[in-house]
Amino acid sequence: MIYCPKCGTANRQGSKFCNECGSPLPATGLRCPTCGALNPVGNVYCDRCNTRLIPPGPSQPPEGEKPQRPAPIKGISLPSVPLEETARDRFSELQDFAAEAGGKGVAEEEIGPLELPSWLTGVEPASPGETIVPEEPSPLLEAPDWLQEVIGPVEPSVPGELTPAAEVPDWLRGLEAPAAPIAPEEAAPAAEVPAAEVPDWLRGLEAPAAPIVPEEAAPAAEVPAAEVPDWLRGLESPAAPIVPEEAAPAAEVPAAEVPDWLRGLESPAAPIAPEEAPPAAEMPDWLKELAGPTPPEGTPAGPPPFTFEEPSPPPVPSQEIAPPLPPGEISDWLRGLEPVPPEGPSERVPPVILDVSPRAAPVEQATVPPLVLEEEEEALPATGVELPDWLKVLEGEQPAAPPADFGGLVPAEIPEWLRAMQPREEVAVVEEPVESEGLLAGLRGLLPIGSGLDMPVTAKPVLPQGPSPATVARAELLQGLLSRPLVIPRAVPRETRRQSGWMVVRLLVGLALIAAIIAPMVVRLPFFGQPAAPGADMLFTMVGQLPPNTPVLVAWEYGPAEAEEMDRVAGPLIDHLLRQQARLVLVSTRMEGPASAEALLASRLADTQERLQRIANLGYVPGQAAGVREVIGSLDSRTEASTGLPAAQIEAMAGVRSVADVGMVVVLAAQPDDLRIWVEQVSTVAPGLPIVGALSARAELLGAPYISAGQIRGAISGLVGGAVYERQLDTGRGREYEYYLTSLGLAQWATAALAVLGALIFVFGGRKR
Amino acid sequence: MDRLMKRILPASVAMGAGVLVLLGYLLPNPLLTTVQGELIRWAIIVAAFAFILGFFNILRVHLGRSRKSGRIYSLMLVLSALGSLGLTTVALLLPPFRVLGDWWFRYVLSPLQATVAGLVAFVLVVALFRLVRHRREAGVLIFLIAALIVLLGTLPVPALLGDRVVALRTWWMSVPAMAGMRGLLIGVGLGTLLIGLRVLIGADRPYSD
Repeated sequence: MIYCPKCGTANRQGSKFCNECGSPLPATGLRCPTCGALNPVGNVYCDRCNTRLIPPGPSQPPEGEKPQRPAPIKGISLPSVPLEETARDRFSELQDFAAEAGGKGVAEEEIGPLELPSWLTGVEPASPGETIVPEEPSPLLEAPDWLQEVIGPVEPSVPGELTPAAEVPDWLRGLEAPAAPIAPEEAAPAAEVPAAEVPDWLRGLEAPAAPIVPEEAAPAAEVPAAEVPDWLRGLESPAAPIVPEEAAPAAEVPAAEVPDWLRGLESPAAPIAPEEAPPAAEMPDWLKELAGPTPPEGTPAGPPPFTFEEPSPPPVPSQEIAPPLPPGEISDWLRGLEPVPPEGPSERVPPVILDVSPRAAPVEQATVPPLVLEEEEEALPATGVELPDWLKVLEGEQPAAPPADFGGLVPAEIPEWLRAMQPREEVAVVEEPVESEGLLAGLRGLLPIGSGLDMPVTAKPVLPQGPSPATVARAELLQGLLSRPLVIPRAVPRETRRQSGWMVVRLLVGLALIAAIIAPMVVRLPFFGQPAAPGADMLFTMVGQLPPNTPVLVAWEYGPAEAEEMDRVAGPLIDHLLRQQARLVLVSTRMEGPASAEALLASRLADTQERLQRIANLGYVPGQAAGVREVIGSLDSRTEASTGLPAAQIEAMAGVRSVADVGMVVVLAAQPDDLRIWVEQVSTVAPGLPIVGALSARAELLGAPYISAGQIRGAISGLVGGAVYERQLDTGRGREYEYYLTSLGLAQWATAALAVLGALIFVFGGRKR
Repeated sequence: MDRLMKRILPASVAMGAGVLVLLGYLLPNPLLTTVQGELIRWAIIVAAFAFILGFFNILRVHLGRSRKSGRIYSLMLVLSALGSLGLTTVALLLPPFRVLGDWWFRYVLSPLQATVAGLVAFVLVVALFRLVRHRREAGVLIFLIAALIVLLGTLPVPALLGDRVVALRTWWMSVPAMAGMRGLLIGVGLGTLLIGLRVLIGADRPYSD
């Protein structure tokens, strides 16, 4: 438990602030200089690393003998270790502080309240056997008002009581500033006022504050240098020319001026001093800063080592030493040092002190060294009247009359501005990173993210690089294209000639075709010989062998587009069939087929009755091959197109139900595919049924294989075939065929001439393409 | 469900119909023949309806082009199609107006289609001229020679070439040309067989999207 020094409330161990009043709580342990562990009060050796926490002194118990821990005292903040040992330890640690204060700071958690540390409180003068009650202030007559405010209410005392220097603690005497005129301390003769009596740390203040030095010199004459703690000596400014402490003979220091409670500190420190006193070169930085400018040669370059060697006091002229001020008066320099009460606590520190302070730490956080113990973790027993052993040692050494030893001073709180200068142990507080995100946001001390986790394993940082040469080339090309002026290509005369040349060609072709059409009308051109049609004779023979009234299935597969040619081809064949008294059953897979058939038959059979007896137009059959397949299997199920009557009722359809009932199939095809479909379907349904054809010149090439294979018994093709068949049939249309043949011959010759002309142009002047 | 309606069901119908029609050709079974004939009639009906759909599709396309360039031609096409449909329908339904239908065919459709066919002859001649002028290839030379043989051998001029050109043409048509055409016919036959098999096994689904 930690008891609040202000309100006394018990707080949990480790608390930094009082739960009741919010005051900062002091640290409760000794921090090991080796491992940094906080050890309980009274530990001589570290619990963690067994490092000795307190330097051994003359009265140190034998090695291996563990010091006995005294019973703690409840109610006061006193160390529970023997005073003698503790004093030596404290002294050693003070020396360490003087050596390490510059590099180390006091951790914030170790910074105690503004009140006087407990160990100083325990030094309060008390008569032997009298219970030490730190809370009960003692009168401090010589203290200035501002010090009295810090200490508490005191009884006014007679100024004469303050005269003996030994009555006032030397280090506090320095606070008594006589309102003497300014005088350098160097002028003070050493014989009258030993310079060593001036607190060293106040000497350091003299240098920068020249006007107040004489005031400071007065108490300095009464205070030996050895009475000033070393950590306060560190505050001395070595720049002051009056600080040659080394020169001060130790014999000049009156032993009586040393307080008894500090004498206990002196004796053990003597043998340790040569070993632990840090050399001047090892002075901490902040102490070096306090030292100010480099002193002249012959003067020490820094604070004296933490030894009890009595430096030679600088000569201070006695006449310049101001007499002691009457009680209640505050010297000017102390007034200047007196902090201004309001505002912040830092304002209470005199500016000169602030200037030399190595750290501008808040005064509230000024604390005693870590080895100054405040509270014991364990519950202190109620026997607060008993003093610890080490205090008893002090008691025994204390003079019987407190005024004789302390000059009427009671342990008082160290002024805040002095605390600010007190060397503190700085513990490097490593600010652990605060988790900024996630569920653990706001927590400290978490395991940091490993370098292997926060960095991508595979993704390497892609450093921006310049564009590749290919990209640059493309960009330059694009830029070049964009920078080009927009030029509309003009018509090239060559192209014009080319267009005009093609127009000439087209004109010539058109004229040749037109001439081929018109010329036979004008003149008779007998130079063409008789055409030949190899299949016409066979076809003519087959049709001629048809018995009368034989049903013939006619596939009428041409329309108006091919009618000019196909009518000249199919006409002689139809005439021959009609002449043979054949009954024609017309079917077409083309929509124009039935109409084309009606147009042709209308010129062949004018009599309607005869037409109905001889011709049955079953119309259009959709579905290409499927339609052919279906119609040849059910001819009688259809409707006659011209009359609208059922095919079965048509006289020409008598006895005809399917393709098997007809004597011949005649295919009048202008397209090759139509011929193929009819041949395929009829050949599969009625194998052996004779198929003949009247084909266009275009379909002639396809019919040739069927003709040579015997699937088509006979066929004629083109105008030539029709003309040949007409010539054999001799229906009286010979003149008409002669005209068409002449026209056709002229057109074909013209076409052949154009082809040859083109080839010649290519060979002798044409261009390659 | 979507897969069933778009893939499985159409494929099943097509494969089943194809197999039944094929069996009707291969097996002399009256039932199979009846089924085959019925399926073929269905195909004809469906093909007839395809013309109706095509007719309305032409109307829809060209009516939609009324705001674009060449809309006058689309308008004429639509009017001609509707007029022809109306005249033909009237001629078929009303015998007294049958003459009107014949007139429309003989004096409108036949001249127009004959004119287009005549233009084909002109285009073919120009194409032949350009071909032999701009191409220097063996095929072009062969084509030129064949064209000359056929053209000059169809209607020979006895004073110039005599019957040798006619004989040459006859040989050309009966040997080289027929060989090539037979090769084409064999290829067509094999292709038809392959397509039929692929449709039967479902490898080709022209009926599916």
